[in-house]
Amino acid sequence: MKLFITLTLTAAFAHAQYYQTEAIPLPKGEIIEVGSIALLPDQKIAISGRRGSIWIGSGCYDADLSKVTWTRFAQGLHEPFGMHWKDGSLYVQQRSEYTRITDKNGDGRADDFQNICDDWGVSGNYHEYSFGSSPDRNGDVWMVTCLTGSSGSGADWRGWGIRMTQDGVMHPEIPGVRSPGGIGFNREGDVFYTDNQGPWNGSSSLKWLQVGGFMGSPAGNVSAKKFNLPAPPNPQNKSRITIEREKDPRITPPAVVFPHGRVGQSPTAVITDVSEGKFGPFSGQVLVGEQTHSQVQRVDLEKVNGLYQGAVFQFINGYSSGVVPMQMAPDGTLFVGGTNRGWGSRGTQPFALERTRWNGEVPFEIKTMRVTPTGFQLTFTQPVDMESASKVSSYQMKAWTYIYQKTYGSPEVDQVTPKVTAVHVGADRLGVKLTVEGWVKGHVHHLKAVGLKSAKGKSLWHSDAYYTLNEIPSE
Amino acid sequence: MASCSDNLVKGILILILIPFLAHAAEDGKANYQMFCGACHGNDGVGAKNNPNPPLAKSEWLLGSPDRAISAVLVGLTGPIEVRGRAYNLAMPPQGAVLSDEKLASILTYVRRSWGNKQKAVKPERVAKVRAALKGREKYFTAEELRKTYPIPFPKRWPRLKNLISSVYHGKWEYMPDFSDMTPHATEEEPRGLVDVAHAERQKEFAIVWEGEIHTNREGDYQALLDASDGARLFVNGQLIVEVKGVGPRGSERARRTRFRMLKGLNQFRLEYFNNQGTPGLTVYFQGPTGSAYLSESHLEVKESAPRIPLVPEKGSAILYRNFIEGAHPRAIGVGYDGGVNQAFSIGHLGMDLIWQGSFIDGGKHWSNRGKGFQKPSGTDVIRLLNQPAYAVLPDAASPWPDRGKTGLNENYLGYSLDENGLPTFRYELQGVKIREHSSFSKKEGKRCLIRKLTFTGETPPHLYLALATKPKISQGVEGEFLLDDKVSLTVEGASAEIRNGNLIAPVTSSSLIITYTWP
Repeated sequence: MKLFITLTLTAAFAHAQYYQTEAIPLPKGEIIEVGSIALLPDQKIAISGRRGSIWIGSGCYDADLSKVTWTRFAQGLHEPFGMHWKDGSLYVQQRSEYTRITDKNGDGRADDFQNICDDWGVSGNYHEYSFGSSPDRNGDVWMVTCLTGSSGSGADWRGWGIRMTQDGVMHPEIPGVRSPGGIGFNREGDVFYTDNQGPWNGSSSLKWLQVGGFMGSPAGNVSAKKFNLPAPPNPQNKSRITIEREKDPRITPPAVVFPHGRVGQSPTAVITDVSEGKFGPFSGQVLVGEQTHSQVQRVDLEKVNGLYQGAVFQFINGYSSGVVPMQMAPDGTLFVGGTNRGWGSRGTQPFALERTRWNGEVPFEIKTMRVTPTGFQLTFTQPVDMESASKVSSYQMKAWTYIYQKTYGSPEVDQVTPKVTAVHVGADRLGVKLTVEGWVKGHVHHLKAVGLKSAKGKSLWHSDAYYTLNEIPSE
Repeated sequence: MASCSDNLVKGILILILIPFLAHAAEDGKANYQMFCGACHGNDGVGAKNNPNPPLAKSEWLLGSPDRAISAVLVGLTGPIEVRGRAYNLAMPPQGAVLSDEKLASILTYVRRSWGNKQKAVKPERVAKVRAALKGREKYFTAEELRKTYPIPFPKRWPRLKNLISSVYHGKWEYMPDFSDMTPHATEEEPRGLVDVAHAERQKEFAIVWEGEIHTNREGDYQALLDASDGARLFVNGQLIVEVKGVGPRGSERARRTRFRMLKGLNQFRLEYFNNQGTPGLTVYFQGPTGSAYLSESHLEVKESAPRIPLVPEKGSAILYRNFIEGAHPRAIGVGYDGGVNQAFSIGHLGMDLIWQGSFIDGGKHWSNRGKGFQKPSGTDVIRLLNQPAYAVLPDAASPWPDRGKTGLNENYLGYSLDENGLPTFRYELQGVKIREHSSFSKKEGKRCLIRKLTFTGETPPHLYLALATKPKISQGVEGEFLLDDKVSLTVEGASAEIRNGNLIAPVTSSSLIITYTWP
């Protein structure tokens, strides 16, 4: 019994061993269901609430969080999801408007709300969310618009990836969006967003918002017709995305599928670890928020044959509400905003603002999982134990895909059991090369490395990786 | 010797106790049959299709006896679900008739008969509840009872997981074939309850729910299905039970069936449609380790919105940007201290709504998923515009054009807040910049909204402003107009006129002042 309790405690506090999450107190009596977070100069941060207010906080980086102070910067906005600070203004993605908000008289409260772009439609359906990015390297911002009622398009440009220039010109670039939860950039500056399980999305995923591509759902194609754009792909129902891709290469497969239930079920924010090691050994990787399971997942991306793909790993657990927005400060502080109104979440608080920091101890983890012409290459955060690492039985694999269909979601189908037939451990013991037989292009490949030990005898913090194999390199 | 006397003592005790216990049990049964049996049946169920709810195995008897005591003492009325069936009757109060002892004996009997296994009830307990309810005349509703005394459903009842609803619009008299239909909306339902409210409409719709039922034991289960109108339940791909065609719930249309489920995950699919009338659906499962409602009863606290009235600070204004009933989806509500309000329409570049009194309630949009359009809170709501506010017309008699046909390049620029927090909306039309600032005022004890429009740049010829395209407009004295016989309107800077049922004014000067006055 004592052993059992010890194990339970170890599991419950495992993440606290490497990452510490603390609640940042919010202004007393206020309900701020955090929908976006922006980093401001002088170690201030701004948060927006789904009720339409924006607050600016000081002291959120300090050791003593009890001294955090907040001022209300603005109110009366339409459920913002996306916000950044630039040249003395907050740029806020509202449902129906991209707005520059400024405190011109310097009294700490916004007094000017300039419409930059509002050329897309809203019909009044609550599901018509708009998620906005920070500026890309050209200074443009990207927005993904959720479908009407999650499966239709009741107004112009619902279900599109849209680029907006600084002077407010709207360029609807990419059709096929369904129900986004967040948008951001990888280290290379390419745009990614999360799309949620539903029609034409067998499972939730991280998608590359590729110009010239198509994100999967034909519901928003009506806007292309109305505005005389070339007709987007019209995939066949109850097919597979790999099959439909061959018919129309504009169909962009999800870069990384997050298998429903196994790795969350409502992915949200997309950010890149910009801390250069201050947030642990995963600098440059993408972190994705998870609303329902109150988590943060970790994603390792690579580009193969012109398409993005990669692996998702579970990362940090136990946030107190449903994780929606995230921002990482250069000092390695991860700010995490939470809300679960209307959606539910494992974290029981209706809303929250938290920060997570690395405590300096390196967890034993699969750092990267990359494809080779004959299998996968893994790298680790710590040297591996030679004996367990060289056994093929330390690497179990299963693979499956999803039905590409207009009905909601999909079961895992076309299951196969690929075999790891050979292992080569690198000389530095920080990587292994796996030879795999029986893998399937287009499938999610689930690697379970349970037997693997570090040189110091530790087991992996997370032994599961889910790699989406869109492409296999020829060399 | 010692053991002998011990047994003797026990024997005497039993002899003393037997008549007491027997009397108590006898009393309860007799009292029940006298006061309750006629409606609820001497067997706790009554005749088949008894319009009165059963007491045998009723979930309403689980846990605290205070729930039943309260209902019997002061009465119970309105819709209630018992063992998966809907009832809608009134039970008159019995508090005056039944003494504490009598009611305690009845409830003890009811709570320990026909499969019920709850604790006995003491007269003191009844007395306590009676004292607490002293003077109450209002019957309980099921909702209030359940809120006050939550039913302690056992935890291991089957549960619905990964539930997804797909809503279809259409009018059917029989269950349609969904295979070739496209849903109007598809949603995850994290609460794990099927709910007709998922349709967000009252009639002419269908819903298909798909998900998983998780059980903790393989075995025989019973499902009860009741619907208005039709419903069809599938478990693991098999049609289990069906309520056919059109008709009300809570009648002989309810169907019960017995079937087998596996331990763990079972596939769940429920098809439902409502033609006309009030939609309703009850799905109730009973199994080897318990039972559960898989449907939202609509007796509990509904997804009713909390009240969150939005009130401007003194001398200031408060803004509300969301979907406001009667206004364009792209509108900003402004509530001015003093009790006048408007919805500025970005879609029409003018005022869509004005009203007096309270501003608006955030509860609808700030609870649950925030569906729908919120009504203004106050009174005398005038819907001014359902068309664009500006147009270039060949002459004043021309019909007012629809959106996109105004002959103008319209551009909404934003708003700024003045030192009091009152917004000035900015927009431009064909190079003319327009600023629009409104404020509260009081004239002769009447509330006014004063709207000032400033035009910068050369106005195109034949530019007209529509002040009202929607309400009833009548001409009063001294240039006054009356909107919906309620609110008077005057214009300074232009001469307004009624044309084609609209109130319009030519824009020729650099400023206009429009005053709206409530009676």
